[in-house]
Amino acid sequence: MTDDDQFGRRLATLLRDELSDVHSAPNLTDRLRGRARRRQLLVGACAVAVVAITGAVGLVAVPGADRADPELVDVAHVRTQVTDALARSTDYVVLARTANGAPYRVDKWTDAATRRVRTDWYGDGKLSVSVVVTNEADGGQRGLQIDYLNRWYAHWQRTPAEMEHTFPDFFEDLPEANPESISQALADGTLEIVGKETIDGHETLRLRLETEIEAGPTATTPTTMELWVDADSYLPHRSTITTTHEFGALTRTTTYTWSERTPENLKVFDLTPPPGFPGGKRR
Amino acid sequence: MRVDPTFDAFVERESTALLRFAYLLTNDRGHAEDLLQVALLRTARRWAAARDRPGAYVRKILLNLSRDRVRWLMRRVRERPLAPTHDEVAAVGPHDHAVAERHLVVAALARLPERQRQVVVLRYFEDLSVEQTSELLDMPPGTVKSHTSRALARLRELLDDNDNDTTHLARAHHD
Repeated sequence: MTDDDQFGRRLATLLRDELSDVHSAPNLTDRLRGRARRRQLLVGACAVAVVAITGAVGLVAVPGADRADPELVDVAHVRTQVTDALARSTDYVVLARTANGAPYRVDKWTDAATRRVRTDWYGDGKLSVSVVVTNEADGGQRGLQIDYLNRWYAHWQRTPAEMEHTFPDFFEDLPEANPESISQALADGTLEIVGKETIDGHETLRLRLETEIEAGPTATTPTTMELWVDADSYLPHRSTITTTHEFGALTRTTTYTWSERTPENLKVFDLTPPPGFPGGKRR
Repeated sequence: MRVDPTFDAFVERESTALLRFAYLLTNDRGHAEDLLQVALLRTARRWAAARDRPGAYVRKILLNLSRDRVRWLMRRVRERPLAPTHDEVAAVGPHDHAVAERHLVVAALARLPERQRQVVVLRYFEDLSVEQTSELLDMPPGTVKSHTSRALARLRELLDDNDNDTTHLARAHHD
C-alpha cells in the first residue's frame, strides 16, 4: 500500500468517526411520499398557470415571467434533462456546424451508434477537405481523406498500438463542440440558467456553464460555454465556447442539427473520392 | 407515489450511509438531507433502471446535485455547518485531540475543489476502486488518480498548516 493510500485510509477512518452520529430520519420514506405528493400538486398548478399565461400573452407582457417558472430555477433538473438528452445522442446523426469566422467553417457529422465521424473543412466558402473516421471497437481507427484543393485522396488505418504512439495533440484538452464535451462541461462546471430565448424559430433554454480545462500539469484555462437547448427535448441547438488565454479570449459558435438515423441521413458517411483523383493507401 | 417495496427496504438500509456521503460532498447537514431526498425521489421514479445497483445510482445523482448551486435556489435558510470553524478547533483543549483532529479533517476536506473532494470521498470514505470511481464520475481512471494525488497533497498541506498553528493536535497524516 502506498503512502497516499495509507494517508487516505487514515483520513477515511477519522471521517467515519466524525459522522458516526449522523443518521437519516427514521421516517424518510414517509417524507419522500409527502414530498412527491407536493411536487405533483406543484406541477399541476404550473400547468394551469402556463395555460393561463398563454391565454393572456396577447394582452400583457410580464417582464421576468420566464424566471417565475419553477422548472427554470431548478438547475439540477435542467442539468439532468440535458445530460439525459445527450446520452440519447446515439439515436441521432448529429451535425455540428462551427463558424470560425466567415468564410471558414467546419461541419462535423457524428453517428455515435457506429462510431463514425465525418468532418468537412470549408475555406473561402469552398469545400477543401473531407475526412471520414471510423473508430474501431478494439481502439484502432480507419479513415478516408479527400483533399479537394490538391485533388487527391487516401485511405488510412491505425492499429490500437499505433494509436497509443500517436503524437500528442496539443489541442486535445480544448473543448470540442460535441455531446461528449458538453456532458463533461455539465458534469464539471457551474451551471446557470439564463432564461428562455427563441433562436432560429426554436424555443430554447439558454444555459451558461463556467468550467476550467486542464492546459498542462499545473495550469488550467477558464472556459465559458453558453448553450441553447431545445425547450422540449433539451438537445443542444447552439453553443458558444469561449476560452480565455493570456493572449485574449477565443469564441467558437456551433449550431447543432439532430437527424434521425435513416438510411438517407446515414449516407453522409459514405464518402467516395471524385473520379480522376489519384489516391491510395497510407499508414 | 407508488413504490416497489424493495425501494423502501433500500432506503431503510442505505439512507444513513447515503446521508453521510451527501454530507461530505456538501459540508452542510440540511443541504445534504435535501439532496438525499431529491436523489431518492428520482431513484424511486426510475427504480426499474436503478434497482440492480441502487447505491451507485443514488450516489451518482448526489454527485451531480452537489455540484449545483441549488442551496441558493432552494430559497431556504442555510443551516450552520456541522463542522466547527478553524478558530473553534484551535480552542479545543488537549484532552479533545481526537475530536479536534476529526473536525480538522472535515474542514480540510471542505476546502478542496469539488472534483478533488468527490474523488477523495469515493476512493477512501466509500472505499471504491479507481475504476469504480472513474465510472461514477464519468472521468478516465488516469484523471481519478491525478485528482486523488493532488487532493491528498493539498490535504497534507492544510493539515500541516493546522499542525503548525495548534501543535497539540495529533498528527494523523504522519501515522
